[in-house]
Amino acid sequence: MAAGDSRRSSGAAMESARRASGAAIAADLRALSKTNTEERKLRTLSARGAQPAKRGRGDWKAPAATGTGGGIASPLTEGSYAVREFHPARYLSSSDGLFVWQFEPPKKIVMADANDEEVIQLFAVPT
Amino acid sequence: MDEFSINFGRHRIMGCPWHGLVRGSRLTLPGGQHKDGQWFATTVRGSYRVAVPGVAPIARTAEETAYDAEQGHQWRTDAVINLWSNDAALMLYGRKNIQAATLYAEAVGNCWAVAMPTNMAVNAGKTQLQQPAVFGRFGALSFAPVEDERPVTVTLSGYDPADPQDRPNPSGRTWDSLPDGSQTIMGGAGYGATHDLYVPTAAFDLLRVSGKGTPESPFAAVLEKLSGAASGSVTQTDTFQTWSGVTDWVPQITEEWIAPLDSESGGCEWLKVTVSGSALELDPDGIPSAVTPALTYTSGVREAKLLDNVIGWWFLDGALQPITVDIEYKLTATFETQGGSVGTVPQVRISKYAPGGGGCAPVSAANGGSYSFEPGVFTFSGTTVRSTTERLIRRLKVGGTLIDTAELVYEDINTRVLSGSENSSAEEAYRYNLVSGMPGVEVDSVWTRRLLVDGVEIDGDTVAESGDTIGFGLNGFSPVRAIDSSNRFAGGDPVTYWLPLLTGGSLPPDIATLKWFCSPQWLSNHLVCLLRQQAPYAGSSGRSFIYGATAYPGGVSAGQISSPAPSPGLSAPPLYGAHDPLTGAVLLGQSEKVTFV
Repeated sequence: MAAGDSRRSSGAAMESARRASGAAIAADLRALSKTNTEERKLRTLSARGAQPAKRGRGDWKAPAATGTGGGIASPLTEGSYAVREFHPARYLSSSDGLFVWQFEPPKKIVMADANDEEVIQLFAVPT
Repeated sequence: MDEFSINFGRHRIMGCPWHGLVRGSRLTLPGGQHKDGQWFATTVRGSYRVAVPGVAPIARTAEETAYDAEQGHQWRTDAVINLWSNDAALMLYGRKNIQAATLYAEAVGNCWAVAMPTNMAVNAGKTQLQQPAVFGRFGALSFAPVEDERPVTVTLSGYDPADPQDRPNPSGRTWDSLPDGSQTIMGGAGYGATHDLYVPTAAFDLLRVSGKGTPESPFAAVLEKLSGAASGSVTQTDTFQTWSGVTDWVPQITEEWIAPLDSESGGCEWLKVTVSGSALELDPDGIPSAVTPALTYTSGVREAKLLDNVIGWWFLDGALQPITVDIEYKLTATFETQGGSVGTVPQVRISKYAPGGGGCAPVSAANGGSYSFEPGVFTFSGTTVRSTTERLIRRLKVGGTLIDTAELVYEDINTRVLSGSENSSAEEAYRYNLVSGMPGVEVDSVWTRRLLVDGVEIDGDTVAESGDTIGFGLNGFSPVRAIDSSNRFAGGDPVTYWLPLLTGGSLPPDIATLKWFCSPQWLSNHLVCLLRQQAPYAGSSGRSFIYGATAYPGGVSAGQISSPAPSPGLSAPPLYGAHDPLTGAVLLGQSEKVTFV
């Protein structure tokens, strides 16, 4: 055998070993392990007629109401007004300009749904 | 709970969309809709327009426009302020009470209610008020109420430091303002019973407000004198004279010496005295007697003019205009008399003379000295005219332009004509008896009294009588006044005595059908008129009004608007008017108070 052939043969062997999933190693380890998995066996079926006939039962559990269908359960309840956030002040004036109303449009309102899941509403800046 | 939390709704517009005419307590909107019990015309003395500079135009969709029409809504970029009775408050939209002299609208979001101090005392040099004005921010609505009040010194201009009476009106009320509140006319308020309205009274001042309220442009307030408590120019003329003396009928005598008519005269000629007539003479130095009765009469001219007396101010298209009244009163009294007689048969007396006293002397009557006496027949004639004429003129001017003139003239003329022949055997048959008259010599008296309003005779009567005992009118004469019936002119300075009071006069009881007044009336801001008003005499309550009303700015010409004469015992209502500050429209001839909001 030529030297090249010898190198190629050893290389192929190394590649094969690397490519192996380690199954061989695992099998070896398993053979050594006390918790060696038992070979699975099919259970033994009873002879026909050995068991009386039975009716199966499945209890229906209604899914939780979400309302949106998006997964938020009604009602939504605001826990604390203090956490509301507002956009910068806007100004509305009366048609004659005599009265000017300064107000802050809502920006963020935090609520909890019926499942006590937090629901946050974010509002755009009024245009 | 935060009461300023907002909802999620859309905002389209806000303000006061209710505008129209208020009659009583009913506001009528453009589509005929009514709102009752929220606006009241009965206490409004005027109204003006307020407008904030830089307000954006109003845009409504077609649907909103249709809804507005259905509801009677009018969204406007300006508003009305009503002025109430004797109150100093401004009523924005006719309802919102603002305790201020003016609403200073510098810009949207920068409006201020400017309140003048209750104590309008001035400093020693009259350069400023002792107390400041207070500028209070107005119309700012927000989460946290914006409290912002700033004292601003009020500078004075135009007041004479040397005259203690020359000062700002201590009870000034707002009467008119520029829409942005930068200039406001202040004056007193007096109750006008004719229309149950408060009218402006002098003195008048102009409040000027400026500034943005920033450090770079701080607020400023100046109170400037417009016109004082007394204004106008006064001229007077007085030529009245009183004459006193006696009246006498003086014979026209011719004396001649004639040849004696008997042989006992010793060559002395006899005296023939012929009275061919007589003439009425007035003797200022005479001594009163039974045949020369005393006479006193007053005649001449008294005239007083008060020109350009300011009764108010207002703004016309931004320009300040005074409303002035001229009052002229002229009293003319004349007394003229002349009379005499012509001896159609002369009186002839022949007296006998005979030697005596070293020459020729009259023979005594006991010795037949009165040879003959023919009393004669005298035909008398004469005229006495006693007249009084009063002329009261009022002229109403706005900005110096004559708007209306009302003239009251009272004429009182008594003419007595003497005629007839005396066939008396009396010694002085040529002398008319001025005290008791003379049989056969009649006096025809015509006494005419007329009251003319603007040249048209409104009332009058004529009393005619004849007789030989009614007198020749020489029992004295003084002017018979009807317009100035209480003789206020004679009381002193016309400005002091009759300017505030003189509105008309009463006629003597027996002419007694009508009583006339003429006076300027302030119906509302921008509405003044000269009121000609009549009422039955002697306390009857019936009254009718005739007046020409002039409205500014524009829109209505001066003209006569009459209310019908009332039924006996009832009063005709005065005629009211109102000016719409938003549209310039004017409504006149209303029987009840009205106002626009």
